[in-house]
Amino acid sequence: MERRCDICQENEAIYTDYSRGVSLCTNCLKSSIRRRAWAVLENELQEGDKIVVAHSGGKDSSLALYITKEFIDTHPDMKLNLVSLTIDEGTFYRKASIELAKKLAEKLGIRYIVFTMEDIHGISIEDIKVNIPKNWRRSVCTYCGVLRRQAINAVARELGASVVITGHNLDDIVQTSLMNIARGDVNALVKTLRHERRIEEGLIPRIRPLKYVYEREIAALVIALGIPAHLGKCPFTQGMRIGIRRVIDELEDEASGSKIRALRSFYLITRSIRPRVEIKRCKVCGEPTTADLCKACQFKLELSDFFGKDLLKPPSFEKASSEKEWIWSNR
Amino acid sequence: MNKTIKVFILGEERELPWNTMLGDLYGMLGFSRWSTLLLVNGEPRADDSYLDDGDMISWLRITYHESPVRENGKKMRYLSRE
Repeated sequence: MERRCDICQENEAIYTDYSRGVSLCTNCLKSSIRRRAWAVLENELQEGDKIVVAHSGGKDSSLALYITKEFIDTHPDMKLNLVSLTIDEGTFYRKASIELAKKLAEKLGIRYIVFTMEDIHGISIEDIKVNIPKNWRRSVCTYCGVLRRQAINAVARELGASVVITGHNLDDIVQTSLMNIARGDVNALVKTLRHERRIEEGLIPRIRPLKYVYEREIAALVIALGIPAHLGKCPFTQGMRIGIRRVIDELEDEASGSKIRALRSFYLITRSIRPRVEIKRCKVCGEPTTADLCKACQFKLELSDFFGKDLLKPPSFEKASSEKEWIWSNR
Repeated sequence: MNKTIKVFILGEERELPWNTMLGDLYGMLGFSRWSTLLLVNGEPRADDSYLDDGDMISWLRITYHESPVRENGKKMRYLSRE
């Protein structure tokens, strides 16, 4: 029995939006998501921006790329330039998503570039997984997150990008904010939510167009539109986020719209707080950091013991430098 | 006599009341709607849509996150400082 869309009353509904109490068809869901994502892009992008989309090939970054491309095509006056970038952490899981990321970039007519973690940091996540002790206090995700984040920022900077777009969704940002609160780390909370264009020299501003979009909406739309995206899960995932996620999901079940209201509250609370951090340069790699050694170098130093060799060396960006001109040239 | 429908849930035939909605299955199967998306004949569908006779229900894990229980059965320490 077909359930019609509550908005257009024409097509079959594919998604129930509990926060608004409506069921939507593919077109109306897409319009709803696009409206929220474009509002962020209109607010945060500037004329002439060179955009790198951190595109893992998963559903979130694939939809972020898709929506950003639509935005660029309908705003030619802004003279925006877009490339898609994947950091290959070296997991078997990433192989499938790279193929799909490449396919989507080709379909949209966007330049696509892959850098491996091994090229940049000299180690892969698979190597870390194999070499750290079984009950080690840090999960593989902790290393992966830090090394990947630094790689995306540094590669985007070396490529001459003015902004990085990521696929972080509403669920991700609320979880991260609450994790920072649970850890008592107000500085990290403020840094998660701030969106000034120029943060510090060496740090490329990040835009998250899907920050007001539920992860569930993204999955439904990606499947309904047939956007090439990897829908599997990372085999290594573990950590504090799992428990936080469960709490937030239960809250959303009890009171629809809690996630959006929580995010808006976090923004209001942190608006007037300036993070009490001084950005310095890492003594080893020169990347921006708040300590003498950046987190990536601290981790490489820690991992050196398990690998039995010195991993502490500056990241390599030879490939980024050589690709820089080609990547932004007109096709 | 109450009317029923037959659907295939994760490959297994199940008889359900005729007025079962897709959203009802989350509770029946013990899935969270925030980490799983149920598909009808391979496509997403609104949670308040009624199921039809012969519908094939599959599921998609939409989060990257695994069970909060480690392989050795111990619960993870959520608030470990990193």
